[in-house]
Amino acid sequence: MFQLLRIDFSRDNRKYLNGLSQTISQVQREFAPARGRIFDRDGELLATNDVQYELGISPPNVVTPKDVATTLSDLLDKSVTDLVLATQSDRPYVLVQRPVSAELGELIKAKRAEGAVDLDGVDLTPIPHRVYPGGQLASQVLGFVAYNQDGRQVGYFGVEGFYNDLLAGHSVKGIERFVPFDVQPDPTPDQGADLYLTLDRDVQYLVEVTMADAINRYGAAGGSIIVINPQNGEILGMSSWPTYDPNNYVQSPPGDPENPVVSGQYEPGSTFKVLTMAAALDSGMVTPQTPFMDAGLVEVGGAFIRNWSGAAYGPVDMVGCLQHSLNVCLASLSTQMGPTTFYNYLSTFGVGHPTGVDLAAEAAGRLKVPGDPDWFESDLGTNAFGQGVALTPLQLATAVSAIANGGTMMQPHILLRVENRKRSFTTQPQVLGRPIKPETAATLTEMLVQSLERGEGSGALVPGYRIAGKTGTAQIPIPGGYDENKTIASFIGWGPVDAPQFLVLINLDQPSSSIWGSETAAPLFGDMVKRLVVLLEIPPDDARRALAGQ
Amino acid sequence: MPSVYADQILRAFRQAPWRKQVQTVAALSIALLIIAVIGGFYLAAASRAGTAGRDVQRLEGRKAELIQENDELRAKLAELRSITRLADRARALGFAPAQMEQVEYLPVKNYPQPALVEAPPPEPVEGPPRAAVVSPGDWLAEQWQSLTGSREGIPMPGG
Repeated sequence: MFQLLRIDFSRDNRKYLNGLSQTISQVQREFAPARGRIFDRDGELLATNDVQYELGISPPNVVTPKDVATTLSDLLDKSVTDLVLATQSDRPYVLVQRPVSAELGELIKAKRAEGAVDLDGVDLTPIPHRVYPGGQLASQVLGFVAYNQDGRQVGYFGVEGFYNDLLAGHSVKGIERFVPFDVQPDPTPDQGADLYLTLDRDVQYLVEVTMADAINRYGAAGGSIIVINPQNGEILGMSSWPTYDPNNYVQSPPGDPENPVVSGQYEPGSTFKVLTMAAALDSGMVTPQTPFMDAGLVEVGGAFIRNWSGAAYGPVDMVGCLQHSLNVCLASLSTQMGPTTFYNYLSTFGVGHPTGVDLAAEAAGRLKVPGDPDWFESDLGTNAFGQGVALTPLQLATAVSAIANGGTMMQPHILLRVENRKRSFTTQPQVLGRPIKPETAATLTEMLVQSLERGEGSGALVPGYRIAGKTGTAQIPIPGGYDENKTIASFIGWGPVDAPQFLVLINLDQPSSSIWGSETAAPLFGDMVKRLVVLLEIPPDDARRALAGQ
Repeated sequence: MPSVYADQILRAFRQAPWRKQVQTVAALSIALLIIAVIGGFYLAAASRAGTAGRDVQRLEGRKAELIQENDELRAKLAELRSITRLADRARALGFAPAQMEQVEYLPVKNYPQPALVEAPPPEPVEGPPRAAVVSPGDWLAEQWQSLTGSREGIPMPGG
């Protein structure tokens, strides 16, 4: 007549009940590993992780909507009306804010624990967060981490971008069970590896302080500095201006998040003459004493090339050509070498090829060669003094490091060591090429030392240390020619020349106090190297030889 | 024949109805006992599994908390040790970066130093210098050209 109970054992019903039971008792989720940390060469932390929260409301669990709305409104600067509407929503979960800082998350937890207000239904879900304790320090080298559409952390630019796979580790999928009888330990994902960089935090700080100082001192619009060890290609410091804080890239997005030292291409100007002279010496065409009659003007492929000062220097030797940075002399050398020899040398120096540095978004530069539709015979002359050829600062530093390192060009790199699960993998220095003979490198080094000691770049000299280097003042190409007022002032130098431990390239964009590299970048180099030798514990040449002899 | 009587008594005893009932009850009791023992063991094991499961849940939660706490402390420590902060603090305490001339180098036995790589000496130059890249004749011609022709030169970079 009436029915109190019916148990339906049909297949469909069993399937439904089974599914319902599994939905309630377990959930399939992805167990993500912690992202690997980044250290400098001495183990100082450059990037690590902490926690932020996702704040949401589960309307079915809210008991006192007024408490929830007013408390969150005070803490989050959100309107009470919106929050009340969220508590009354039909949806099972309403996202209120993501991310919420760790401090705020802890404050909400504390309020809930106090019990003064009823915050039932307020959900705080921890989410991983990347932290850069040094703020702006090495920001362009490190890059930053953001969340992609799936809510996963992904590294962009710099080390974070290049080594994203290593740092991210591998997440595993598993089942989280809520019924105690079925509970099993969470699966362990492959942790992200910790990376130790070749960067020296103290050198990096010096580079950034020097850069900031240069911007004020010389009224430059921007610039970049790189310090590498020419003997093994290790990048010790690298910075560009303007910079940004990777902790706040959302609030203050960087104008250019890329690292201009590896991504920014420019016409290097006179610092490039070092490579032209290296080619001329190595091909046997000239020696340091080869005389040159400087007329102050030379015609190459229909273009008339003058010296930077417009003056004719008369009889000089090759050291004089470098000392006075004579465009006419260098253009004559490249012309006499001929395009095949000249461009072959530039190619072996890596001009026009990426260095293969382990940083994201490296640019290849541009070297026009005969046969290219935009190559003209006049390029043979202008390329000799760094015009009409595009390089990244890192490419130029790498090429010149071959001269500092006895003719052997080492691959620049930023990764020193990888550590994962107590295993350590150390990066081995790689030879990128041997563009010139050791004798040529030694000869040119000596020429650059002499030209620096006698020439316009004497501001770069450091008492007690023999330094080789070259100034540069490059004009900035604009449509239809070159800007007549704006320059890139630069200096590239290394030392101590008998045992080089650093090579520094400084570029200043559009300095307003003086357009010349000899008056801006060169003294800046000198001031910086005076601090650098202390940080790198490099004794003056006399003391070093005396110590080595003991 | 006493043995015949004895057999009859024994058969009657074996075939007695209460005897069968006793056997059945005993068998059921034993079965129940076994089930109860197994059930007891099962309950004990299930209870222990449940307790262990709760422990695992609690420990996983605690582990996550500790990892989070550890990360936060590590980040805070790194922030406190950041070079910008240390430099500011050192400056506030009256320290200044060491200058080159203030440093005295002393020989310390076994102090790790980078290997000294001696660059080869410059190539010796023998005999008179080779021909000039630009001859005096060319130079004169260039000068003549520069005097006679008003030519558009391209802007020149330099030192």
